[in-house]
Amino acid sequence: MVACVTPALYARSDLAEIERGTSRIAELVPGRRPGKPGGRLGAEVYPALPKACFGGANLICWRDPMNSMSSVSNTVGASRGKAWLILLFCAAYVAFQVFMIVRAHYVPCKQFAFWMFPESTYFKATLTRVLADGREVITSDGAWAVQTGTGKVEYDWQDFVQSYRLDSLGRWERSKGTFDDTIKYFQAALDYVADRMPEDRVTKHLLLTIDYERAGDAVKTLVLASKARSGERQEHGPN
Amino acid sequence: MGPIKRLTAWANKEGPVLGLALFRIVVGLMALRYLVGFARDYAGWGFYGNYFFLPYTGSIPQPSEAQYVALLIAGAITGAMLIIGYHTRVAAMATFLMVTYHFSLNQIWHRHNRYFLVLCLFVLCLAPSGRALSFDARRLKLRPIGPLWTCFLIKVQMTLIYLASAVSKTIDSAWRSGDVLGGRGLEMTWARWAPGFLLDWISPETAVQFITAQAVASEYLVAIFLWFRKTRRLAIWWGILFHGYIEAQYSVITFSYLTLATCFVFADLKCGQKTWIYSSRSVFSVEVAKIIGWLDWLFQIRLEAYSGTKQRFVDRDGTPYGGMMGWIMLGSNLPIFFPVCYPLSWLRFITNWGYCRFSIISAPAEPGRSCKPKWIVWWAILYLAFLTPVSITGQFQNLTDAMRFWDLPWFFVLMCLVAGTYRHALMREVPARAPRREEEVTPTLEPTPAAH
Repeated sequence: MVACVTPALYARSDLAEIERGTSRIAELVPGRRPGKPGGRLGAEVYPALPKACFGGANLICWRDPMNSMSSVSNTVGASRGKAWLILLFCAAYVAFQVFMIVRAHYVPCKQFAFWMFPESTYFKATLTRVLADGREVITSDGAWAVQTGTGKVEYDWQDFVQSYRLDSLGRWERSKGTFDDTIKYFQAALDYVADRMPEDRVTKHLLLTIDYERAGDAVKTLVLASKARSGERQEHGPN
Repeated sequence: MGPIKRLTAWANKEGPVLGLALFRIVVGLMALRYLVGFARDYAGWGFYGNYFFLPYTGSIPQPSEAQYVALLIAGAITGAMLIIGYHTRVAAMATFLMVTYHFSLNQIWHRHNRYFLVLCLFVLCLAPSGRALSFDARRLKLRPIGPLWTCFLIKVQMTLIYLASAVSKTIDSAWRSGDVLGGRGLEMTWARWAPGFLLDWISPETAVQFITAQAVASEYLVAIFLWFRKTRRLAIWWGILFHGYIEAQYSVITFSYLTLATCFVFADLKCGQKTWIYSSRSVFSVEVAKIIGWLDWLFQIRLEAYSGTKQRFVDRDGTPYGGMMGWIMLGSNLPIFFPVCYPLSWLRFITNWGYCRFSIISAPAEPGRSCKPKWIVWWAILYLAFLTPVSITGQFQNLTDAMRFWDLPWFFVLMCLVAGTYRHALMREVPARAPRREEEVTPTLEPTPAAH
């Protein structure tokens, strides 16, 4: 296919002769038998040809192998191998994307699957410390203090955890993404915080009580526990 | 031609890469936006490694604070290089690697729009996007032609995103019932903004159900209609409204912009297929023609002048439009006016309104001068200089709704500069028409919806 060439210009140029297979220029194109129609007019061929060949016009010419007028390749072997590589790559790319999308229907995590605005779940998280004597002490929106030999040491959940609305304790928030992801991140954040409060020697582990309400559903409660700071791990499932 | 030959021919197919180049510019801008957003987080909260984070896998090496800052800066520079098209392939690969590495550092940073940005950058690494609208194209005198298979990947990716999103909503009972959008405050929005008579007629609950159905239907329709020439412009127009509303209401960071950028790839752009014929005697018309040169970001409109008094728009199929319809058709082919002018352009199907029956003689009148490429470089430097203090100073930590759009004027200026810089070269590639007399067309000839 030759683009941007007016029919009149095309007809009077040698380009038409090349397409008809009657031009001597076509004999210069390697791999093409002169005198037969269907010579390949590839982008790699045109720049080598003198401008005068095209009637002096500025032409944009590109390969369109779907078009029978320029369908026979002089570099069949190389381009065919490249074409198969491209086809394989495209197939693999599309297959991977489809796999990730379909997979998300069977797993709680919707990452890489393009589930836009997947849900509208509101939650309120409350942080509780479980002391060595078994008592549970609710923190003040994630803040608490412990008495040590050197004085009072204050801890705050927000000093450890930021973003994804994981830092908002004690008030209702709409979860970003899916609520399952929020739970996963809360669990990891609990363990993270539990590992980073060395001065607090009285807390055995941390609990996060999450009240949540999925769209069109009733309020439910879920309790997450950090790994035990004494070494043992306790887990709580959804109530 | 057998199916195997057709497949290999498809893989080798080459064509104009103007759409890819425009896509590259938007992706580069979004990469900048992505990195600047994290620079803002860094300035506000400090190094992410000092807080809770969750890598996808322990095998991903975590950077030190200095390395992290260097990553953001280097990414911004390569993103700017990608926009202006300087060593485009290297810039695309470097930006892809840096954005992808950054994205992989923390699961909590996962957003669909960021993943889409990574995929866009990945495809750009393989695409001949530097063959147009780039410093490389000027420097190496490249023609805006290249392999088209990467365009196919971008289109398929976009369609998969729409379909994945639409299917996930369709099978979710909470979505179908409208509870999900209701939970996102749409009921309150309707109750607050809808006029009283409309509120009496359509309750907030009904409105949310209607909007839910519309949202799901839009995703299906845009996914499909973008592929067909006859419905493409309608799909693009609807997509602009759809994503414009989502961006204004919810802020999806880069997603709306990337989605609309894929329209450049879908649009199958070829330069100078339409003509604006203006009066060379009218100062107003001459000035408008100059402005068209800056606003024609898709390089669709050739400028021609004649000695008469009226102006005329000649569509791709040769159909001429004059009067108000000529202006409407001109507007519907300039991206900035497209959302308003496109629906108005449908009026021409009703009564042949604006259809010209008289021929005129015109001659090419492309402006001889063009904007210099260094202006784009200066813009990039100013933009980065603007980003740094504006994004990182304290009062900009929490961007309000209005301030989320503070960089849009910069995008606008960039696109105008790109149009002004490369217009001359691209239009020169199109064979110049000799002065000609338009053939008198029969009034019974009806333009088709896909005519332009």
